[in-house]
Amino acid sequence: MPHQPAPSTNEQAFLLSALRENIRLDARPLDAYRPIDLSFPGGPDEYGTADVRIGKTRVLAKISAEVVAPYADRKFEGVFTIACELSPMASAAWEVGRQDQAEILLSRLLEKTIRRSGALDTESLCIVAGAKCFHIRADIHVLDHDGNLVDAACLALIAALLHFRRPDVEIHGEEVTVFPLREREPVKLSMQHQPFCITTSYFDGGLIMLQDATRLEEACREGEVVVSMNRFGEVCSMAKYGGAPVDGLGLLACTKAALEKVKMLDRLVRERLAEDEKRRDKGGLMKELRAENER
Amino acid sequence: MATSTILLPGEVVPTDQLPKLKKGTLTLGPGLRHIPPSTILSTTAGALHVDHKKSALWLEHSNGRYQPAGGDLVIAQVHHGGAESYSCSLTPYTPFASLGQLAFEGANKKTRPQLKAGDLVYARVSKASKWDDTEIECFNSGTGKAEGMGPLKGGMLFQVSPLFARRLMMGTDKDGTSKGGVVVLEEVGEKVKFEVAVGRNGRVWVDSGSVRETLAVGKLLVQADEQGLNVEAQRKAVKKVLKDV
Amino acid sequence: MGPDISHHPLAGADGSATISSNLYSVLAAVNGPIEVQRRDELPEEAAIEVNIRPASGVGGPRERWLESVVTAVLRSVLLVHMHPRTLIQVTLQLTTGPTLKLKNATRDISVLPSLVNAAFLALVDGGLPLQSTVTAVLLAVSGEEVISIDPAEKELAGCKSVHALAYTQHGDLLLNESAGNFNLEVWEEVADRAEKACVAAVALASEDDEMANGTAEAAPWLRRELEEKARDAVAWRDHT
Repeated sequence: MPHQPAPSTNEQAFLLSALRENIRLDARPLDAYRPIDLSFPGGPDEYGTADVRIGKTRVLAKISAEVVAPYADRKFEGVFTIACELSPMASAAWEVGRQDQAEILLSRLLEKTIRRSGALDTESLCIVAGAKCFHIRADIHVLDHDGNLVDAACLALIAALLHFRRPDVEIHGEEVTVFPLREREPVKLSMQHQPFCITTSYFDGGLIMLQDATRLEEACREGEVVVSMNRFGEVCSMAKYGGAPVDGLGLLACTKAALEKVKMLDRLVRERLAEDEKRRDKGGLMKELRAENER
Repeated sequence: MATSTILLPGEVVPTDQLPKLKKGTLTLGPGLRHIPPSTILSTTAGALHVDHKKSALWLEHSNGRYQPAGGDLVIAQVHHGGAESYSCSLTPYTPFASLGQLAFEGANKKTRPQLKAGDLVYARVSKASKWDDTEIECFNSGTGKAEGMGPLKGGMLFQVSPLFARRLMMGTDKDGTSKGGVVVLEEVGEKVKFEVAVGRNGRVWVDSGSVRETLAVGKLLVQADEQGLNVEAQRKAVKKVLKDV
Repeated sequence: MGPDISHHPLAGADGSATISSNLYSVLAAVNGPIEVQRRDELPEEAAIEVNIRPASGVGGPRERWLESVVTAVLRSVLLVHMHPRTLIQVTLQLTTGPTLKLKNATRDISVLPSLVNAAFLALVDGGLPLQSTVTAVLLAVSGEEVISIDPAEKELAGCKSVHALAYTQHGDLLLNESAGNFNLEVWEEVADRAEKACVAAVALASEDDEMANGTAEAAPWLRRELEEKARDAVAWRDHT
């Protein structure tokens, strides 16, 4: 089995003594994120791919849609699945076909944060109740691992969902027409809210808390708390899978600190989406298509 | 400097580039292989470098994993101890290198360093071949002296590319200029006291009086490597960092 | 001109490269030589593992077939005997693909050149020992028997046959996969055009060549990319 190399005792001791002096190895404040880069690659007609970089960590999220039959017990809803398979590209420790613990945790966190919280309105994906609906599939590809995969993956997924356009549908009585992307402008997905994950890692008996840990910091930490919330401060999920015990007040502090970061991420996503829309706007076509009146 | 010949993988080294033979032998470094009787082929993309004095040639390329070679000084991390030797890793995800428990200066069964998992040692590769496991030792088995090798306590480890590590170890010319084009350590050394150990496997160990100083030295090295700073730019970077420390 | 290439985009992998053509974008990552699992260990050579990940979906028999083809090509390119009992791990991630609906066989063949080129660039980036320089190229034959290199999506959708071939700089054929309706004569012409294009991609540039054939086929794009990268690696020597 490929062994995940643990850091040397020298590195661990140094990291801890540096943190005790409030110094991080890359000179960041304890609650600062590394530079975040968000882009939407693909041609002018391709929607739904988000490429996120947080420092050296890089995650790609891709959304695709197809028409399927809905689940028998959920006739009025569409289907939304998240697939997250870690490949050896980001770390030679991850074997293909074998579910690593990191993969299970990442999948579970994304499920709770985005699927279970109803971020995507699945009722809007229904075409004909009980017969036809859209299956929105999200694929997460981790390309480079330098820590904080959870936050990066969630950010990429939300950005990709907001960016994606599904084919337009028209229903005349019994007849359903799904228009290909070239015939009719595709339609945005209906998102109820946008939750983000903020991971807080802690050290030294829970006394030192920092956000956006690098790979080395993750290897040396005592444990982590993942708070998922949207920009209104609504908490969708809180996760603390094992790790050293944390004081209850410490958890509250994590949540409070997370809100500020969520607002930052939310702003970033909106800015990038707006820029991207401008870039793809083919000669002011967007203006013509808008139904609003100018006042 | 004249532009060196760049070779792509699988290309023949032109005969006019070969150095004169020294006692009938020609030494081939990394990136080249010999097809008898007299063809030399490149195995990767890189710049051809010739040393006429030593009658040697090799290809220089920047990336790639470190491959153990006899005589290299490396920084190894102990993974676990066995009956007679420690299993150490030189690079992640490769088979362990073995370090004899008595391969230290003045060591015998009663008095020898007790190493634990996670400890770092400065060692020399004593045996490396593609058929056997690599072996390392922490002393010069010929003289029995440590020569600076042995366990490394405290300090911090920084990762650099194997090419940069080689440049750091190139030493200086007759007139004092660094052959490898790295002046960071000298420049910093004028203001800050520190100990440093450079491993050809892309690991540099730095220990200084304080966390800040150790970090400053290490980060300057990493920066010089990642950003490809030339001598001038290195001097500027050092000045800037020393102001804050 | 050649496809869009970027070197070493990833920090974690030993070698990486991205290649974007008019049809596909592929991100390739290479790790190795690293430790191999006992069950995959080969006593005298390095084992090669290729993983292909589509942009959407998990990947099924199609990806497994592509992996076997790419592995075979790479085995002829890598000097596997230099690192016995190790593993050279190649992961190829498709990020964008054609939007038009293509016939299954056409789709399978058309992605091969991008995969092979990306894998090769990543191997060079990772400093793995190689026997030769490989270039792969895609050709489509239209209904009127017109052969085009690096066809656009529309041409691909309406073509009679599609061919993926790869040659070394010495003209050795390493990859030959075709789909569609064609005869031996057509194939021979296709192979001839492919060989010329692949050899030209790594030709030693000379002023006359560039002036004489200003066509896209003759531009030595692979040599230029690799030379530029190699020069950057030794740039520090020029400044001392």
